[in-house]
Amino acid sequence: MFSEFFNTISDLIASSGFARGNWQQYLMIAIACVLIYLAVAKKYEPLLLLPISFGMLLANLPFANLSSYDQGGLVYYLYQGVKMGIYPPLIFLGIGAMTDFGPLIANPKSLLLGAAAQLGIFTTFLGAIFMGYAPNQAGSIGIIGGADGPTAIFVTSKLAPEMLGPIAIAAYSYMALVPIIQPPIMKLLTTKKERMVVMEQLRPVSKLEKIVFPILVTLVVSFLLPDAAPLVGMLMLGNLFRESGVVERISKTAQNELINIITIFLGISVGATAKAETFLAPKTLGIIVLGLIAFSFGTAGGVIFGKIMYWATGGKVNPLIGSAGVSAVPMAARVSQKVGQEANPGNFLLMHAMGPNVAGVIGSAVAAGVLLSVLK
Amino acid sequence: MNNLSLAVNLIFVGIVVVFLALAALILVIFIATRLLSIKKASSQAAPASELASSLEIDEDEIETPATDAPDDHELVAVITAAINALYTTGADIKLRVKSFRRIPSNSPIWNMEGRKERLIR
Repeated sequence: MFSEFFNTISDLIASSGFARGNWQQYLMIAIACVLIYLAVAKKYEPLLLLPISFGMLLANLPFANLSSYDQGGLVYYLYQGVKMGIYPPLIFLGIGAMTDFGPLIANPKSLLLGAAAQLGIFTTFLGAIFMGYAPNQAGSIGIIGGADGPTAIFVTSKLAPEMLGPIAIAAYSYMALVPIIQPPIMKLLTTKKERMVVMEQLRPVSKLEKIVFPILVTLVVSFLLPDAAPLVGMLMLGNLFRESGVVERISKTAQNELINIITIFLGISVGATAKAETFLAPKTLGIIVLGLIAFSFGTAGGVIFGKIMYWATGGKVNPLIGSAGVSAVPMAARVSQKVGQEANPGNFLLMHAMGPNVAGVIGSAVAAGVLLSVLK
Repeated sequence: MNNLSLAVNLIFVGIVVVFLALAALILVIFIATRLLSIKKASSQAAPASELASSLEIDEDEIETPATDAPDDHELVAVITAAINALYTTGADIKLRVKSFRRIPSNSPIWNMEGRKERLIR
């Protein structure tokens, strides 16, 4: 009887995670804990980094079968929304419902700054090719430069789903680091005189303009680049919910309950793709390095085009707002405001920077459409 | 080598396409805002002309004390606010007083005293 008891206990111990786990899984669990710390204590994009890091932890529990690739599990079914490209457009629906495109409509030239900031995507693509990544993988790494989490996840899920975990973690980590990454580049590329430029007040935008805008953007972008239609279409639908004023409860649902639910599902299932065998590879280090390059070049591209607009308008445009063309809304606009105020304490660039900032969301979706149409 | 040429090609194509797409958006927004402002101007022209005639009538009714030049701005603001409150129904309609003049009052002195008493009460 005792021997049966001991045999049962020893069988239980032998089947536990302690007996069957390997050092790579323990290392991944430790990395997940570090990311949880960054999300909770340092508040690095916690809304996504927390579920992503916990998903990473779940995926590396020995023999728990909780990764996104383990068929039949809860996380496997949640992951289907990512795989089929459903979650990112739904997140864009919520983002559109939360976004005011007024500063962009008042100054449509901001769209060019949003375009210039996408330079980071394409230069990083070149860098990734140099480092030996395949074109589809290089495209997924390059899209980190758009500073847009849902877009990065959407493109990666279609071009290189095996890299979803590290790319999502890199994208959201760097978005949280925008206030650290951008200011040195902005100061390097501009003179104090340029940073001190006070811009004219924006004109008021009517309600009718705000209603017509999302319809026009959807039509123009979707006709030019059908691959960008899911992202841009849902972004503009959400914005139309907001601006029409006749579907307030739907707008509130999109901004709150819907986006929160999708964020949970997306975060957990994306994090659960980061298994030890795919994450702990030299290519992951390359993604982290290239992600930083992508952000830096995107910022530089926006600021340089801002300088071109400064010269073209005879000093009416402050080049700092160009850095807000990366689509980290509203953090990048706040960084432009802060750096501008350091040069001129009475300068308020926030609303001027919001134009390029929201233009960057459209720009990164268009760039994603280009990558998908060429590389898919 | 093939991947490298693809990468160089994609940089140029990608940047050009993104710029062209957003430039097309700028053009469309510009045209749309122009059309909307023309439409708004024509729809506001009719009520604006009714407003102009009633402005004269109201000025007749309003008692404006003799004021020095610096107080005119305050007076203009008060008149504009009063008309705005009475006549505008939509948030899009905006008024701007371009000029005003005192119209000599033809009301009998008793009517004027009666109005003053009501204002004090």
